[in-house]
Amino acid sequence: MKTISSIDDVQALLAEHRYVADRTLAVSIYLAATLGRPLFLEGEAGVGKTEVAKVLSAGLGRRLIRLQCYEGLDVNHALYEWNYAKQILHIRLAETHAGGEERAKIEREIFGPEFLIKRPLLQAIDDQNAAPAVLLIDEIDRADEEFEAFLLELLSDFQVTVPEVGTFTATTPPLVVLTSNRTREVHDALKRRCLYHWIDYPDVAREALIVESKVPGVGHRLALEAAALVATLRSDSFYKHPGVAETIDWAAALVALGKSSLDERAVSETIGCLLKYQEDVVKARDTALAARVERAHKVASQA
Amino acid sequence: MSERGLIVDADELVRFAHLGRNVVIFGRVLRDLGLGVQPDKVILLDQALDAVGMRSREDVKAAARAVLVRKPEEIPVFNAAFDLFWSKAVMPPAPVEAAGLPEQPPPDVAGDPRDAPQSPTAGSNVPRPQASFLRSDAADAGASGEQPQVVEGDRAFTYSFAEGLYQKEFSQLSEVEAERARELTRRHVWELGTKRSRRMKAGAGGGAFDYRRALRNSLRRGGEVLSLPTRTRKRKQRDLVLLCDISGSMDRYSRLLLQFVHTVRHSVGRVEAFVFGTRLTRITRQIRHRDIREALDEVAASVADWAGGTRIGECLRTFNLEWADRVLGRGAIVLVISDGWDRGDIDLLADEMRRLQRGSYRLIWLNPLLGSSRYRPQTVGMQAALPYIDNFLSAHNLRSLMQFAELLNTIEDRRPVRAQPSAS
Repeated sequence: MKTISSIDDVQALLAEHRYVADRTLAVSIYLAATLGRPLFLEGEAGVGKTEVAKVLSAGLGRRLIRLQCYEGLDVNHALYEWNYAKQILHIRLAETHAGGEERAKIEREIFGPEFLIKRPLLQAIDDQNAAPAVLLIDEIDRADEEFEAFLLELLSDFQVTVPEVGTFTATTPPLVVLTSNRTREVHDALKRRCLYHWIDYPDVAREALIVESKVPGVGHRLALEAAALVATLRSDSFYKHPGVAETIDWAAALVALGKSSLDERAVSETIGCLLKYQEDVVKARDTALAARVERAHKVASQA
Repeated sequence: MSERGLIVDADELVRFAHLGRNVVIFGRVLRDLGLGVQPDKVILLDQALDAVGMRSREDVKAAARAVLVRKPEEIPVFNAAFDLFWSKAVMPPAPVEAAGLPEQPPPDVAGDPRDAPQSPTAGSNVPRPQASFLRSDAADAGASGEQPQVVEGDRAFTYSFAEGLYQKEFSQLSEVEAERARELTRRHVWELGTKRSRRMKAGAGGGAFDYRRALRNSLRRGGEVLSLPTRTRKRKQRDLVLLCDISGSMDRYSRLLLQFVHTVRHSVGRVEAFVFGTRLTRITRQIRHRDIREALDEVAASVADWAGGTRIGECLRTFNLEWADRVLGRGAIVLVISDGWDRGDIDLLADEMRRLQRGSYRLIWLNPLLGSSRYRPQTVGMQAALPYIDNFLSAHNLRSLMQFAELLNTIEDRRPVRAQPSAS
């Protein structure tokens, strides 16, 4: 397992795993690792928030443990649960063989580790027999307030007590990454525990770089033009702006169609990779698509 | 290397080193700019600066930002403050003197970034011209004998008087009656619909089998499973989004309806409130004050288009673009309160209504004019909006508002089946 000892380390790690980022993100990651604080990543959909956790786990040789949040997510699904069905079966079996006098012993048995189902949060903390973890708590804004309160407690001491079994403590606290798409404001108390980083859309040059590193066979010119066209879409008011993930998909689609440069027809045919609402698609096709393509050509040739 | 802003100048280095020791002062500057910098953050900042070292200005800036900022809106404010703090020699020459600094930071520190045009948060601090409309109203209310104690002791009015009040058109209420009506609105217990939560609770028959309780029960009975406990969904308050028209044509109703909005906000947990005329203003924060007058004063201070024209379509578009994702996510009921007089783009209104309906669990339109028997919703605006409304109700007197509340309680756990007219 590797460790992080400087900001340059982080940058090297990100670059090695083809995650193109600016230095401020590297600083935030470095701080999260050295100060042992969770990293709270916010940004529009598709700017690569989740990817940060994946790259960190790969780069540091840590287990990636992912908790996808949703409304109603509760302790039983996030932390641990007893395998009740198995417990009931065990009681039945034990009683047919042993008779009633060993009941106390059976009760002790069924609340042992063998019957404990470890959910992501406990898995991340319980590192006795496993590598330290990168804990990704994805889309925390989808969980409800009750869960946030619970999480707050857990993130402060990385310790979980299961009454029947004992206390689990992480020997190496997991590196925690929380992401939010901002579909609602996450409570301040939780944010205060964390280091905050807003991931913005990259500029054209950087986005072209990302496309080139992610899409095999895309030429420098096409990557630049694609990034430039996407930038023009983002500066307009659409219901949903395309994220970097969409740019990558789109570039891959253009490559599949054998394009090496943008033309209006190809853009019009593939615009569904970028814009996901019918109104947006209609609007983009209507309003001077040719001008957009031309502008993208110009930006690309100047870069 | 230079693009990282490495420090080469020795003077700069000295000055910069002070920043680390003066995080307290920097924290205070940011606090003055409206960024919540609590003492624990200052300690964390100190640790963070220790960790990144003091070699590169950009690294220090990024580190401080990661610690202190909590929302994207705060980033420009932070950047401006940091740059100012850094560029000017506003820092005391030595940390010893720092301790002796007055409570307030130097005026140029606090003043400059606040005026910085690039920061949206700072911009909102600039006092806007007060809405004279609401101000004078509030003053009127005070003059016409609105004392706080009227509320408490007033049990005098008989049922029939109250009944009359329930029925009377808002626009025809006298000043005294209006106050009473407001009071009734305030006292009424509003229950505005619940939805099935995704959380479970012990059920009384029906629902999914509850292994956990089955096991616990069986242990008490020597391992014999004798009962079949179940789990059902909890219920929780449904989110409510209120969009209230405050344009000129709604003038007669605005104050009472805002009162209604305020009351709803304080009896139901999760309410997002907006007002619109020619532009959309979010007033969720302003109406959080329990005191209605304070709340309305804050609304007045933040709304620039009282009693002006109406451009419903544009306002709904702003809502759909900027807010819908954030406030409609959990099956919210959307309530538009407006008379539908629109001077803007009618096609746009229809488009945005279509979209709004699709995003909302139930789209309800309250129209104060609908109470009149002669009223037909024939204005172009209302005509354009009608096909996309799930429930079209009146809002002309207290009775109608209460009927609306009853409707909310009957909303089922399924979205209504809607056949939307196709896009034009």
